[in-house]
Amino acid sequence: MSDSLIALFADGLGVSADSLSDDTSPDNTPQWDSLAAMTLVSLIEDQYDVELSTREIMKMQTVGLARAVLTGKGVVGL
Amino acid sequence: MTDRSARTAARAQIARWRELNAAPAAPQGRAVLIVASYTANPLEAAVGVGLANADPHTPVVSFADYNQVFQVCLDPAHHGADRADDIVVLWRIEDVFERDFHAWANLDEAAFGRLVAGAQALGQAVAGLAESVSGTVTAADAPVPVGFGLDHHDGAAFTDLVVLQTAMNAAFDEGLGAASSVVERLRVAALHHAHGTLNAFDRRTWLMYRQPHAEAFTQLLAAAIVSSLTGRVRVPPKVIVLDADDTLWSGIAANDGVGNLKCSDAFPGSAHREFQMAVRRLRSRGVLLAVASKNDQQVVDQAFAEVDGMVLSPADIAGWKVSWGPKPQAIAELANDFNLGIDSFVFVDDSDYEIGAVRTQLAGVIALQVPEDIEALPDLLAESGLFRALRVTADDRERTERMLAESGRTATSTTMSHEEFLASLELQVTITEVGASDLGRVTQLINKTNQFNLTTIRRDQADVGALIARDDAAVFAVTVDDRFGEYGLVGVVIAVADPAGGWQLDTVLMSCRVLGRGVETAMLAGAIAELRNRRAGPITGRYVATDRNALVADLLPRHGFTETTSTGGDAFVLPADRTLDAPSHLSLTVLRDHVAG
Repeated sequence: MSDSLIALFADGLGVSADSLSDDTSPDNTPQWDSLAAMTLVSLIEDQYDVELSTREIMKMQTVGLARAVLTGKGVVGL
Repeated sequence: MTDRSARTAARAQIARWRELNAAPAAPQGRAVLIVASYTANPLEAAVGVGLANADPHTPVVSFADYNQVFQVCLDPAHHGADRADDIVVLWRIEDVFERDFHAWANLDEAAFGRLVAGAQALGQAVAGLAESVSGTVTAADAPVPVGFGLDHHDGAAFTDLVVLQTAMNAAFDEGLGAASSVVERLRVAALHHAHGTLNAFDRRTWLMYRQPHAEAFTQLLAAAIVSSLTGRVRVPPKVIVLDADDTLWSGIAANDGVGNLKCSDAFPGSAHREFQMAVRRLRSRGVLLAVASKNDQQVVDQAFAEVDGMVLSPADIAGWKVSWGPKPQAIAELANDFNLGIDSFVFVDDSDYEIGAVRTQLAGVIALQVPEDIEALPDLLAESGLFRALRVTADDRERTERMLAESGRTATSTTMSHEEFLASLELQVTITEVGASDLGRVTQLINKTNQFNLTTIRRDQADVGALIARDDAAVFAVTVDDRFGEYGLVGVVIAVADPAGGWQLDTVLMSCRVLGRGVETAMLAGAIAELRNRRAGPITGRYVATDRNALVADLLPRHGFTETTSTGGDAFVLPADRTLDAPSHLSLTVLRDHVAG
């Protein structure tokens, strides 16, 4: 899959990109624990050159919601 | 290192760490257990990769449960510490002694004494750990407290924090007592100060994940841990062989004349003078010094006598190789003179040629080149890290002796037993029937508890509300409080009346924050007593295994339940005539009315 956000989550969670979708969340992905969440935040900030507030991080409860938050911050090409 | 570059480094480490662990033979290296009072897991990849770089075998890096430092020390087998090759203890005042720390910050005068006594008890507990396990024990000291809106820019307030920290670290050392010779010390406090207490803190990861360290500090800490664990087998060098011209002083004696050599307070002589100070300190700690210079001996003697600002004197130099011969040969002769192996030698020179000659002809010698930017010269030896183990050991010995003299008593390891420790916690476990005002928090705990969760049944708030309304069901919330702090709502028990009589346990879960204190036993005892008040009979329960909840596989059998095959699966029953007692070290209260939290 060429989706850069899915690829990022696959990297951060240590799982295959094929197993991920916009519905992927901590509830259906055991690898997405609080430690992985920390890694994901730093990956996202570095890759898209953004800074996330705790409010934004708390909104990112699924891959799709993370996409929405980033789009809202002006990140293009997601 | 900035946090940004540290994050790049961290990600490379994570990738490498995954690669190492995916290798067919991995892991077979040492088992390292990190026991921390906070979320320390970001250290895993950095420590793992660091150790793997020093040793061809991939280590296993694991973490004790969150904030269980006392518990691990007092009951190592229960936490797997008896199986670790190396144990690293990281603690912070504001985690381990949360309640007393905040009391102290609120000007409770008695809190200071309690904190110091607590730190001493922790030192004793670590000493006990070192005595009872076969692995090595490395214990950090506590960094200055951060977070909670503490103002490190308020000089007076910061000084108070440092005074507290210093007293507690000294008490911790005192508690270590005789064990301080076997417990390796990790100077986290110094690392924290050097990095900057505010720079070292990441308030976002602290508040979100109880992980207080900024990435750059995590990298520094991981490097210090690796260096401490590998330093145990690395012997510090015994000899430093020093070039003279443009190393000990600025200038070349034969060309410039002794009168023009610089080693004074004026730059660039100042850099050479400070380098000599660094060398002189190592000499005071037992490192032998030698000079290998392509010069006439008489010129070098004259320079030592006449150059302004010289720190080293001829009496500091144990071996002289002043000649026009090759330096590798000079070093080999020194090794022979001192009867030491070549791998005990460090060689410092400004010349590419000499450094190259020594590196190629005497592979065991560590050759350090005088930096092009001469302002870095004073830090050359410090940054090499070669002498750190030496310095720490010397410091420790001195400190131990001083403290023993001051305290006027022999250091004994009067470690508390696990039972005595538990009794000292003054644990209060309260069981309350859940009311409407607790619904949100109870539902949250039901949905986020993975490990200590017997059945992992998830429910939304409406489901929980419906259960509360039923007469044939009971939903209990458990709150815990101890000497160190309030833990708030940490457990939930849900039971439904069994049509055959008695009760079925539907949900038993607890936050891992209160593990190791007997809270689970009190929780079950209190809930069962209260259930039986309402309806007598057997209590049945089942364990539903998931990837994460192996921790509670034996919870019911451990509490007197016997396996029953009548319903199939991992079902257990506590017969109607069997009761369960709460542990004697804690006080258990069952509140029968709905109490808002």
